[in-house]
Amino acid sequence: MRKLALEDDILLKVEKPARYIGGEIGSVMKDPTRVRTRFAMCFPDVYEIGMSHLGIQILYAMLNSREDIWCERVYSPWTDLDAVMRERHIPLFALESQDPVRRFDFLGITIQYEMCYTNILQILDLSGIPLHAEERSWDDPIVIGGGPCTYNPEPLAPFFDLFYIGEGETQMLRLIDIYQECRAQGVSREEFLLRASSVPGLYVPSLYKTTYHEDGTIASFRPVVPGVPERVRKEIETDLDHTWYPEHPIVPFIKVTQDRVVLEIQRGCIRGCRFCQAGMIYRPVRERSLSFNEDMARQMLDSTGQEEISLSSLSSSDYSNLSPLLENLIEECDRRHVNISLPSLRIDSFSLDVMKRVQDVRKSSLTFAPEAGTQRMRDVINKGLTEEDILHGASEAFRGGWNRVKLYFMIGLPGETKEDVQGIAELSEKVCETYYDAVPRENRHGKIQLTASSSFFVPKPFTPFQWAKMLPEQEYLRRARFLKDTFRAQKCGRSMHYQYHEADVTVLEGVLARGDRRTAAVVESAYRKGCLFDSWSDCFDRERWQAAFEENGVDPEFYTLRDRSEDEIFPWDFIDIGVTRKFLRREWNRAMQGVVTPNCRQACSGCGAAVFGCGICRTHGEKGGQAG
Amino acid sequence: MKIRVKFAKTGNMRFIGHLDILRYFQKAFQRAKLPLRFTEGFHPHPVLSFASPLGVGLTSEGEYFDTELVENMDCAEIRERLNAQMSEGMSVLAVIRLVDTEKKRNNNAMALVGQAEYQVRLRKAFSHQADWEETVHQFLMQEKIPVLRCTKRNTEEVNIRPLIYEMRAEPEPDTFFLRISAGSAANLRPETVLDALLHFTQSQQFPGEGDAETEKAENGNAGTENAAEQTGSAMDRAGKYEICRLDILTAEGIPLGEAGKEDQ
Ligand code: SF4
Ligand code: SF4
Repeated sequence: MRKLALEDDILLKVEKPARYIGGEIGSVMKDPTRVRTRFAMCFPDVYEIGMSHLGIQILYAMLNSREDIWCERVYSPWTDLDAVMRERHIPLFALESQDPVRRFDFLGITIQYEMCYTNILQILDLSGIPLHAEERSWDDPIVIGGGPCTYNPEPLAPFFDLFYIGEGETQMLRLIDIYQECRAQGVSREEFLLRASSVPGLYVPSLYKTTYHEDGTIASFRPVVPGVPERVRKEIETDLDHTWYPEHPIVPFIKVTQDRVVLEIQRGCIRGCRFCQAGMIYRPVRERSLSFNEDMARQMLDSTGQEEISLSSLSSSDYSNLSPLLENLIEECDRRHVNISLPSLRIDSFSLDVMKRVQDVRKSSLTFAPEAGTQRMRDVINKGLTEEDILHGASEAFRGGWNRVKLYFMIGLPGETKEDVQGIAELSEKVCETYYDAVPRENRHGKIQLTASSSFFVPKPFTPFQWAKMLPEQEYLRRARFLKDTFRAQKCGRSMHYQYHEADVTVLEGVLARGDRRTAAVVESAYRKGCLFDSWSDCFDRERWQAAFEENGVDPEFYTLRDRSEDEIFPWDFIDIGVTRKFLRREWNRAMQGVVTPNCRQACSGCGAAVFGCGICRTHGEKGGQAG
Repeated sequence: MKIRVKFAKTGNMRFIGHLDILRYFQKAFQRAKLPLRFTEGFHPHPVLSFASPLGVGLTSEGEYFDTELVENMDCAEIRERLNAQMSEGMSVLAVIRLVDTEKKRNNNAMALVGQAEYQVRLRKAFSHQADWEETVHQFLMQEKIPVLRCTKRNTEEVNIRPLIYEMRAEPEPDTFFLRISAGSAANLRPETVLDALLHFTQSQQFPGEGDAETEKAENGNAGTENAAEQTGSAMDRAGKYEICRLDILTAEGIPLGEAGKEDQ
């Protein structure tokens, strides 16, 4: 029997002990004496969320495919266990071996959202690893970060030895080879990091220095050691058919957020919505072949016995083989009594037909993400979804028996007017009216139930809106309350439910998203004051964060409310995502003029991602390569 | 084909709750490519009916559930194929074919439960180094063993003596064997018996003095109850005792693995 790191009395006192015991079907056990390199892969949030993340499962499969590497998992201990571990000085451990993380060679942390930054410090702290990279020795693992937030890693720069910018499939194993070589040669940790800095996609923050202008903006950002690359280009897997995929995903004992196998049918998105970071950083869109997807679906269902499969992609409707893939999957899943879940499908007659076959219409709801309430604003953000599309889709759906609708919007987009905010309620109202027009009284299954949610827009690095300024918290709330009133005043006001996200979290997210190295001190202070699980609204503590900003003399408004000039150096400018700054600026200007840009399937706009020579850019031939 | 599966849940699997065990077995059948019968409707699901849910923190050498396959298969093969899909700590001990419940309605696992056998060991801090053989003997000699049972509205005294069918100290230190009432009619929890035993021991050692701590424990734990999920006091329970359910039996004392077999 595997010996657990925690005693029974602890495990039976904390919520969901299964979070901490490992041993799930699909988890990999190896003999620690027979592996050379031990890798702890961490998702810095609670088990149920971390286990739902596909990226980790891909890397877990890839690393464990090498006999000399053992990759294990680490998640954030929930606050109940956190308290016990501190009190009893129990070091954080990996789930498989239950061995302390500090003994590992690598601690890889995937950084998926800004609100997990304090959790990262918790992971280091509980492991007994110095928070600051400069204080670490060979007794500590190499701490490496990956994931979307590494497209601006600067607010975390002091805490990481390395950042891996881009998709892990390409260079991780090479990095480990270099590590093994360095250990065998007995070179210093610094020497290893220096060698690592020459691996494509790898960024060693300690080898770079930032200087600032008097007004606080960045004057320069340069390597401090000769030979270290000035810019770091993101890594991408150019052939998604010949690469690692978790054929035996781990099957958790307890219910997790994504309690199903996940089939990533493609990576990237053709659409180029101007607020969307994923749409830019994962360019160009690369599809997996029909046969790869079908084989993988079958294999994963066989190996897990899961009752549900979910197609994963930023925009599934754009997958060119969607129709044959779904035909085949529906048949396969029917036979196995497996459910199919289809997030991110655009509502049209094809998707409605498919949804009818895989869901209980009466129990499911339709989802639209118009993001903005008026056509003017949808043009600004380049969201190619018109009112007609929405009402037409809704009308068809209502006739097909649906009567629940969810709509997603953003408030605080650049140049937003009162009309744009009002437009959200008005568009929702039109959706409600469509129900009563489309479905004769005798065919209605009760009233329409419409839920509209809005989040506050946060400008992200590497989007055309990276120049945008945010609004003060009070202004966000004022607009949201105004919208709430507008909803109430609508004819169908009683059938509509409107909810908005917290504004204080949004402002903090805005600071960290575009923060620089000076914000790192704030994250550390906040953590020391007890901030943890900031993405959980009942854990978020705005007073502590405020105090952390004050303590470090950092003004959050510098990051959120300031106008950024066209040529300001951004903390993330040293990263090359293929998409050029010139293209992003062009898109910003077009946004200000309300001009839409075609998606990658309609035409190539020469964003720069063609340098990777793969995916959709190739269908545009030379043109894709030249423009930029 | 209706079958009853007898399985053991040991080691670290004690931290997995009843509902998760149910989902675990659904998936194991799928992986083993054993064709479970699914319900009709939009959300078809297989029906696995468990004899008696086991609380978090307890291990077991004899758990049961009934289910149905759409094909006739060899029981030994079913067992083998399931065992190939088990995680550490779980094993399928037996698969038996049941007579068609249409004809014999009351032989489903849950309805049959009447008794259960347990092995309970006191954890170190609670060990009393008593002469357990003699103490248990005297404990059972009592006409009444009253325990307090707390319901939402009031606290009442219940005599658990008639619900204890067999009890003895085992050769291993601080270890006991229990065969006690279980099931919907009168479900007695093993820790209730042990709490009462410890209380009895103390009152013997210090006659006339009630031990505050034991009494408190009693209030928290004591009582017979019919609740399906007995996971409420996992902490209290596991803090004091290591409990392993050895088997589940019918009211007549026949292990469920023997009851309801096709040839009966
Ligand atoms: S459709 Fe728009 S918002 Fe959605 S992923 Fe693509 S670019 Fe982003
Ligand atoms: S280069 Fe052209 S086709 Fe390729 S991602 Fe950019 S815009 Fe799309």
